[in-house]
Amino acid sequence: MIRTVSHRLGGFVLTLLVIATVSFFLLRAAPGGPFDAERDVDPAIRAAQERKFGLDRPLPIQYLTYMRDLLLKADLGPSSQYPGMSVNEIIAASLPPSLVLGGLALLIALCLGIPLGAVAGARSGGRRDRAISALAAVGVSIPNFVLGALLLTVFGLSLRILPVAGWSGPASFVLPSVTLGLPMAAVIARLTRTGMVEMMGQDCIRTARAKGMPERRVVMIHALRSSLLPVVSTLGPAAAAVLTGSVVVEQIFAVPGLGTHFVNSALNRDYSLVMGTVLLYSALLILFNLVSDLLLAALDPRIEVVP
Amino acid sequence: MRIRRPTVLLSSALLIAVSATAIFAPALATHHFAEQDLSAQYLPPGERGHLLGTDLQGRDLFSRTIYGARVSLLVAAAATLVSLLIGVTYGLISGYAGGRVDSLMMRAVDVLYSLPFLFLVILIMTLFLSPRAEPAARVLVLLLVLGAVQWLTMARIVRGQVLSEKTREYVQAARALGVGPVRILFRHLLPNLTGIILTYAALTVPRIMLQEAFLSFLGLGVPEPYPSWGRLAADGVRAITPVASHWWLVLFPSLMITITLFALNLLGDGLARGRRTGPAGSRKRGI
Amino acid sequence: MRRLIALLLLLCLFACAPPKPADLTIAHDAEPRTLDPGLMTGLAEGRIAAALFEGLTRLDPKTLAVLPGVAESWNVAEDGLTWTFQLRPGVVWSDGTPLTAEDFRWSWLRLLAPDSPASYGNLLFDVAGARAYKRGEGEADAVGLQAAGDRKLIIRLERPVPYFGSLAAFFTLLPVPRHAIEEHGERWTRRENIVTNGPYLLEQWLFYREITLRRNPNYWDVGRVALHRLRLLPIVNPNTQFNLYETGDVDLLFSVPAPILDHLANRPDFVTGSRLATAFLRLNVTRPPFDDVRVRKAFALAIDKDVIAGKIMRGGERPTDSLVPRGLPGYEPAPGLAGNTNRARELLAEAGYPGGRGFPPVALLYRNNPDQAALATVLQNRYREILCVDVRLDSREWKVYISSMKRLDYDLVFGAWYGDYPDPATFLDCFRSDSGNNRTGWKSTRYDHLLDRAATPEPGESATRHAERRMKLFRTAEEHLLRDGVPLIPLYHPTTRFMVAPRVRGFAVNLLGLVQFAALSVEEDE
Repeated sequence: MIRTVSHRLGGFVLTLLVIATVSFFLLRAAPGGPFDAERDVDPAIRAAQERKFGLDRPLPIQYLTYMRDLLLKADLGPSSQYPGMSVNEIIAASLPPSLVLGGLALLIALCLGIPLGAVAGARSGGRRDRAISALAAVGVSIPNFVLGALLLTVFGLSLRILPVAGWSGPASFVLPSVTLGLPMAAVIARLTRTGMVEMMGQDCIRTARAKGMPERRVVMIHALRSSLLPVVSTLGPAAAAVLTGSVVVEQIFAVPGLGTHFVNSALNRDYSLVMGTVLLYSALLILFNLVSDLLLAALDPRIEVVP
Repeated sequence: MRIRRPTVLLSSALLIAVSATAIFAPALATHHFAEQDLSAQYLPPGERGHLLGTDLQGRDLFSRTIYGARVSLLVAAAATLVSLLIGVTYGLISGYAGGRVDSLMMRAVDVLYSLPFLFLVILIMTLFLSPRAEPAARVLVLLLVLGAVQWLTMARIVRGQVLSEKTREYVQAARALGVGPVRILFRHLLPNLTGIILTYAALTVPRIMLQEAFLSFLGLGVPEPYPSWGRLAADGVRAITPVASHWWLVLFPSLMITITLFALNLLGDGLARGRRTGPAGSRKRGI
Repeated sequence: MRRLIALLLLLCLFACAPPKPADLTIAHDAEPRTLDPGLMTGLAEGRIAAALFEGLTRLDPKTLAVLPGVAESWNVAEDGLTWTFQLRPGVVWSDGTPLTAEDFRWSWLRLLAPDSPASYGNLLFDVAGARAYKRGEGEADAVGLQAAGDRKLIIRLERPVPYFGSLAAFFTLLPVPRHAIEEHGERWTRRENIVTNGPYLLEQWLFYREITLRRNPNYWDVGRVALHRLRLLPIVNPNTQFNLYETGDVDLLFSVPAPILDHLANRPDFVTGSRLATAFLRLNVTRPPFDDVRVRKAFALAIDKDVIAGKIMRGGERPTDSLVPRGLPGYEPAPGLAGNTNRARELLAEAGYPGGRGFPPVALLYRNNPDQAALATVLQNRYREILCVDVRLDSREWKVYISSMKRLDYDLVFGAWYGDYPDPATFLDCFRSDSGNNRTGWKSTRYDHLLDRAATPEPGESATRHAERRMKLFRTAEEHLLRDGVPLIPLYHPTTRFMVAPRVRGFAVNLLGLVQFAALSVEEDE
């Protein structure tokens, strides 16, 4: 186990390096640069701007400088979109709201999704199953911007019990995290249910049932464990995505999170900020995928964990 | 033979209806999707022959929703197909091989997950599309782009299942009997994963539809005046305010997405259930 | 695990500091890119700059008349080339340091330094020696800026700039504190480092969350500043802004959801203001079919601009055939090509495409914002109907749109120009042959020549005579551009839309879209 983790951590750094390298050159290949704007600037000014960010130098040199600062100083570089701000600072300011929002959404998703899915799958085709499945289908298919608008119209504008936007205290966390969490809960419920249905049909469960073990324990112990495999497989990428922010939800509810920067930095060709968000996301992703792989092994002892 | 099941029957009927809508859009629509009537802006449903109302340019929402099925279903179907072909195969191989191969293949997935998706799209769009490109070419590029990223999670799920399944008796037995890996993967393992694969495939459909809307919103998708459900809903939601709501603009396109997905999920469940009702039980089929 | 929970709690605390009570809450369109006025590029930032800093002059919030700011008086020499500003006595920075003429000189030289990234540094290019210094071909000392003592700034220009008084109020030319910048470098705009001289002080700056401004007790004219504390919320989504306005959380906002404009028209708190701006279509004159001026004219004549402004934009925009907006002192815009569908068809036929036959498919490039998308569909329909030609719509991501425009890789594209100062030159200069903002490939030596002649006074010509002749030449140039050249088709003059809570007083709209927070007050209700 420890060997596995240490192996994976070695791979972790290597994967990050590959991601950083590919992304770096990918960004530069896209048309347009950070200083292209609706209005043209004087060539001398344009040259000064490019000099300031080292964009006048050959690409390989830029790459080496970037990697040196990244590896030796953990410096993600200056943002071209926000002069005077470093990417480190922007991430430090924007990550906390995203972590809170994403964490709450994950909590909602897991706490709702798994039990509902398990209940539905335990008696597939039953009335409960139908109700939950229908609900989940609706939950998955409602666009998040529609769900957000719906929730804020009802709870913010009509009932006036929750703030319609902003990020100032727990009350303002409710609507965005529910908007973000409900569709995820629906996905998790669907996956859990399917896993559950599969497991209920399996020999070991049939045997256990035949032996007269109390139904609930059978369900809990045997079926649920294995039926969570697909959920755990998706959870790595999903958690990384949701903890680094969602631009749609952030914009609807004016949440000062990181999701906005994922999109804005790309649109503004703020190369260092794009790199910063990409590296942060990939670090989280690899980490969560590692956790998710370990969880797979924990849930199903027959799974050998990959060295 | 399993078509007799009522859920399968119902969901198939729904899906066929939705697909027929897309195919026979010109016959069903009361207006052309690009036809404007600037004297009929933002009409609510039912007024002046517009069944579901109109938008800013006075375009008929009923007709636009019907035509919108084309782009939405095409994008969803193509991306799902890619996800099924690449994702499932990749996941099967990675999970079955295990060890270093699995580790390497999964790290490759991590890398692909992490690449700045927007840049990928921007790049592909600029490389392959000239300004005067046919709209159809744009749809094609969009299909490629969306499909290319959708298979990653599918690969992870399948691989996770295979890691567990391959230790089961029937696989061990097959292996002991000298059955080749390809046959084991596709004849023995795959049938036991169809339930989860179908469920997840159905789940990706709305996501793809919304991603198409998001890309269009950034100017990267299918251009005006061609409608798609995702974009109709995204445009419509701008008209939801406390002062006035042109609610029809967001309700009907969203409803179509929901109905389609509902049918897909139902079908997935029905098929999965149908598969397992054989007297011998599917688990034994492999041996 | 316990540590993780503690960390989460800490994050929660960090993420939600309670807001201080403010006299006015303003929804701001975007997070300012910077609080350094020299580096700012947008109107939204300019509004904050105008609250934090004050230039030599300031503009009347309604009429844009040039008012004294840090300078109490100024005069222009007979030849229009030397401007002398007299600073008021006893003006200080927010930290008590005296504000001197040298501060202005230093601030402006900072913009002109060869390595300065200030995008709008070119506003000072008419100062003697400025361009050469920027290009690295001259010395800072050779730039025509001179501080004569603490209270007198003398500016020598290369050519007369009649609007220099308004320019001195522009956010790029606001003074910045040399002592703070030399001490803190780029970090001088942080709350703990910033030193300002305007009506307000920066009390708090939470990135992407809010900016709080507090009245500056050291401001020389603090008596005209009514509100003690302002909160600015950077909210991009107009619907979110509007929701907050309707719940009473926001008193003032700068962009209104477009789909409900019709419903707001009769509300007293809905305010629109014309802008000194023009939205137009650019035509790529370097490749067929728009290399033929008859085709360009046909496309100009075919449009119904009343429909575009009244039915699609719906925010009080004025349809126009001219590039320069009405309302500039001393200037009457040249008449462009007014809609005439029969003539449009004739011209297209003359160009070899009778009834649209043989016309190649052309593309209308737009960046996908909802307004442009809606306009694009309307134009597409119109051209099909009137000219029977196929215009394909080509929506692109923002930077791709810009770079296609610059590389002239388009047929038709939307554009707009927002004037920086009330003078026709800000518009007409765009279409000079060598202008980076031309972006149509249209080159006319006659046009360039007219503008050059307008810019330079003849020997012995008085400033007033020159100003008159200048306007005449501008008008000839505009007419040539719009009627002979037709590299662009003017569509309408944009507006700014605001929601202003009934209790807000002193709100004024002007052509530049500048809202001065210092002029606002609130009605004390029960």
